[in-house]
Amino acid sequence: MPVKSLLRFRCICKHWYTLILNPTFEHHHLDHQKSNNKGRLLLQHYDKHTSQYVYALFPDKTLATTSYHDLDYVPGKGIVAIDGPINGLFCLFNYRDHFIIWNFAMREFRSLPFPYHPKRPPHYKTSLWSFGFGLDPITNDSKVVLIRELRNGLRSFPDGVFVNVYTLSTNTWRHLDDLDDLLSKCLTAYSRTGVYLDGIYYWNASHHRVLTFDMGKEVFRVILGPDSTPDIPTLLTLYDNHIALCCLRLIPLSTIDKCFEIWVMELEGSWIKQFTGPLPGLIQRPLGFSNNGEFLFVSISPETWNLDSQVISYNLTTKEFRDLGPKGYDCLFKALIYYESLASVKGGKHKRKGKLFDSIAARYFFMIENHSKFTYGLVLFMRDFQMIKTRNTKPRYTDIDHVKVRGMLTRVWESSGCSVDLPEI
Amino acid sequence: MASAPENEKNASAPEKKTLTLKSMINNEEFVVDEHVALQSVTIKNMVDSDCAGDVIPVPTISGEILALVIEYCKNHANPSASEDDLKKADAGIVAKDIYTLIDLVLAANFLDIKGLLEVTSQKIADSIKDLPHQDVREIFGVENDYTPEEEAAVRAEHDWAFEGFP
Repeated sequence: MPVKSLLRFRCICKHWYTLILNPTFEHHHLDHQKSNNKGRLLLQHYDKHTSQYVYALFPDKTLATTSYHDLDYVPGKGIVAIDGPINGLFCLFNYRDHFIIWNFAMREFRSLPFPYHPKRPPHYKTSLWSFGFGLDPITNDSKVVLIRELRNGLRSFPDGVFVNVYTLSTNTWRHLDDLDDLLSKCLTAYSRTGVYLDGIYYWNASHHRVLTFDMGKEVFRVILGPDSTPDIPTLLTLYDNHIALCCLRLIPLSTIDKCFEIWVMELEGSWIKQFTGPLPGLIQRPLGFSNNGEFLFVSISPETWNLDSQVISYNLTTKEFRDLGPKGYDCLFKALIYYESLASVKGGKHKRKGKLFDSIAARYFFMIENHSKFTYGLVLFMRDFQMIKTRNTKPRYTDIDHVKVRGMLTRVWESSGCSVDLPEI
Repeated sequence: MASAPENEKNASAPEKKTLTLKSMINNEEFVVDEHVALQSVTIKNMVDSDCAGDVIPVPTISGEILALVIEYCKNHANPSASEDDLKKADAGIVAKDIYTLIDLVLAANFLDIKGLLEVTSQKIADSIKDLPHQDVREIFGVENDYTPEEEAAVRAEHDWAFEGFP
């Protein structure tokens, strides 16, 4: 039963309304789709003509038709990284400061508060980031973990790794400390998101390793990946409810162009090669399994050589390829298997709403990552603030608590070790 | 406890055992093989605990519905039936109007036949999913306990879901 119909049937009577809102009903509804394998393929790609990310939904397993018509309500046009779905919810991230939890079927989303880390010096630049969206297996609560590696100026080594964990039920971020040593040696630019399975989130890490985060205990670990896999382009994905690592290996001086390998993790750190086979040279990178058991790749489009990439599906048994239609930049594709969910994440309807003082503070500060700009941002903010006070004008952002922001700014500024005379409130 | 009399019965009647199911609504009787009827957990429990007489009365289920249930059980008791055949047969059984399906789902629930319950529920879900909620209300005989204002408020929560519906 589609979520859309259930939302309408809440109008039938009060009893049906409470029934459909009931969390147990919500779980049964989701489990029913999973056990009947009713997931649908959702493909994120970058449309060059509109310069926007678009989401293509394939209504059934044949992958013959695509629908875009429902997607005009997608929140946050500039938001690019997507992870999930966890219990039918997606997590979107704009690479900087803005996270959104999105229920695609309910057309609801929630903007998360800014992940403020008290120890982060404001002028440090983020050099690498990774995030993961998963479920605390004990409380069944959704969590987002954000890892940022920061550098001071152009130094070649990172100056710190900052970790924040968001919990959906409390709508708050917490920060984890003293993880620099462990994490700074692991992060790579190719592991921005990974894959979640049974309470653990997995990212590709450097040197044939896999970084894991236990969503319940909130502990990181590093485990061994399969030996001798090439560093790029690899993909961590799910295969038959196991963690799998997929990679393309270039084979020099041979008749085949590329070799495709799927390694499956049977036990923690123990990998078995599940599949290996030749691929044509046009294939650029693995995208993951689709809901009909075929494998998806990003491939160079033969007609528009190098300009547009396309998504093709590959049948591992018959070795047949099929073009699925969507086109875009090669590194900006993402394929996800989607189940509809009745989980409500209300908190925003197509606009940021509510108490956003920390997000706005972020706009003033964290995005401007050096001293002079920081001071400039501070001056701008204080001028705004003074104008509201003295001339009774309307503030630019009506939903900011200016007093709170000022307090927060002062704390950030002080923790950076500099001093400045702020105008009095 | 139950095994002793059963062995006795088996010894006295080596041929296939049958059970008689009787609809209490229109007193229709159906004679079915025991292994067919035992797909119903309710009947199995009755037989196992030895409280099933020669005729098992089935309250609240009409003969017409009981016939469909028995047809389903017969199909699924046939060990040589392939999965595809069963799917086709199931589709035939549930190709009925919505009111028959509701009676059938109640019967499947009472007799505790999981497969029939699932396939009938899915068929009902498929038939009502594109109906306006007013029609669904009528089908299930649900009384509307909303005031017009309350109903409008619930509707406003997800207004987009009602596009194209009255």
